Amino acid sequence: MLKYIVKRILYLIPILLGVSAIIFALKTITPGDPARQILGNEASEEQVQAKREELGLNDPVVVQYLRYIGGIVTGGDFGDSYRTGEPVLSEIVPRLWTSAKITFGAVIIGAAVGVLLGIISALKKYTWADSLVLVISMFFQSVPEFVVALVLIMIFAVNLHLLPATGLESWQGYIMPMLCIGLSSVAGYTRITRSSMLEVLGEDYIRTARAKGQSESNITVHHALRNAMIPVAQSVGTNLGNAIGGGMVLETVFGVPGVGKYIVDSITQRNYPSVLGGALIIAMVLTVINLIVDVSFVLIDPRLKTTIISGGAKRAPKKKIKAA
Amino acid sequence: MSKIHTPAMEKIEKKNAKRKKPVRSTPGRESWKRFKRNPTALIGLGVVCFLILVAIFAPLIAPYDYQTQDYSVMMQKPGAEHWFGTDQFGRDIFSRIIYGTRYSLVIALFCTIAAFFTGGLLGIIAGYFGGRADTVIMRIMDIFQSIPMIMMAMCIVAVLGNGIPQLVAAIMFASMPTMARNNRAAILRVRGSDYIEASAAIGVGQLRMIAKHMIPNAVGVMIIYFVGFLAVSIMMMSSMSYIGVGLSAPTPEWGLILNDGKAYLTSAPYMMVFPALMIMITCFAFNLMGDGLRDAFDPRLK
Repeated sequence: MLKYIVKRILYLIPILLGVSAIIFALKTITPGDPARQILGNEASEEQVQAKREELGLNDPVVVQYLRYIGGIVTGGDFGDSYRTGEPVLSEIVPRLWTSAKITFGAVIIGAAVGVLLGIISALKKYTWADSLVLVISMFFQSVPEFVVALVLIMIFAVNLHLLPATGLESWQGYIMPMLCIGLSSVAGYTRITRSSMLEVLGEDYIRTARAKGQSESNITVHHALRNAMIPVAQSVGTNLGNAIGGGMVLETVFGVPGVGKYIVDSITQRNYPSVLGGALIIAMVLTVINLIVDVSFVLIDPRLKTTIISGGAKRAPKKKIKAA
Repeated sequence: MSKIHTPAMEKIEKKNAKRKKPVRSTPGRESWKRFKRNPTALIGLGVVCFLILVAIFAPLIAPYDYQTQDYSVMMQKPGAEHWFGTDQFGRDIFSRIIYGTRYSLVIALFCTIAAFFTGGLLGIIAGYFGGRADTVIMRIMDIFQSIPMIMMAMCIVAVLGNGIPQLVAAIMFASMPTMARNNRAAILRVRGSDYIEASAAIGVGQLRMIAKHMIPNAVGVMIIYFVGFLAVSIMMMSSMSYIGVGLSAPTPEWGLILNDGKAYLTSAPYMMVFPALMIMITCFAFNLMGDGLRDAFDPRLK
């Protein structure tokens, strides 16, 4: 077990290096001269050149990349915002908490509704209830979150005046963003729950439970559901990424001061260090959270170890088929 | 001895004459049969075909030009003159939405094709060769996947700037890992089959193996992902352009039309209702069709 955990943690290193390489590559192709951005338009050509030399922009790309990594590892230096001059890290961290709260709520809503619908459609398979559940969950999957958000704003904020359209001043402000992000992930959870429930319900131990006279509800909750939850739990990690991606758009729609809005605002202001630094921080946080989720599920159920081999990619069968 | 003709016999003969020659059962025909039996899939297919027609004949359907501004008819409610009303510049929303179909479908198609020829191809290579190639490609895809898809797309657009080619490139890069993973899985499933082993045994070359034996057998599953991804790219595109990233005005893309109407949500909700409906219907139709295709091509996945 310890070996597995250590392996997973070591696997983090290439992933994080790779992600930072992607962001660094984007950074090198950003339009405009960072030195000119910092000094402003009045600076002379010599001053800009001196600044470029000082920032190390004239060095080879590899040296720049290594320095970039070094800055992140030693000083948490993800770059400075063009707009405020503050380090991106210190601007992002307070916003992470806001986004985390919303994402967490959304994942809970999505999983709860999805699992419930999945159970219903598995127990009532091939009936109208099953089809209805599938159509509803697919509808929420296929409609972009921001359209759902607009419809909710029109109904609950504009017409009924029940919830605030934007902002997080009161707890009511959290409801709509969480709901929108959550609903979009319902379909995934429903589908996984349904198929894994159907599989589990066909197992021998369910028949045994029936044979010894257990009640149907007892079988569903205690025997079937607990075993059927394993694949569902595994999918939480992937859904987390989608929830954060969806959150980027929705935070802008609802005016939530989270990381997503920070990045989108920075894009419109052409504040490249904030965009790329922010994206890198989010990707890193997400990778670490995914690791924690994976490892904790393995601790709960060691059987999972065989299914999530480092990084989630299943290995190809070792069948040699190369011809000649 | 002459044939006996009774009414009953004639009936049977007529029936036999009407019956077509028995059709050879192929996987394609079987899938189509299954697809035809699925009402929701047919609805999806119908709507998608309708949208394609709308996109092709947009200039004939749209009563006005999509960017002509007419200040005498600003902010008109839906009526006989302007079916879906007009926006703050006096542009006809119905015409903008009709032309928007063209933009959305064509850009989505480009995105999907581009993603297929990059990520998809990588996935096929990884799945076919296995071993070291597989490890290297899939580890790189793991790295790409650690950045949420839409965030990746937005970062790329942020760096490259707004515009259709930039948007296509952004969505292509962002969707590469998913595409690669799906196509790899499709190839892997075929790779384990006996007929592949048999062809390898009789000495079929690598290229022929991929092109003639593996891809034709995996193509059903690939079509499923292709159609599914069309919906995903429409969603991503409209989400991004709604928050002002990706495309810029006056492109009549649905997300951008919504963005135009954003300021008038309370005073003129009709400006947002119709484009929002259009996005919903389109994405839903593509997903219904994709789901039907999945059941048709691969009944085991249901």
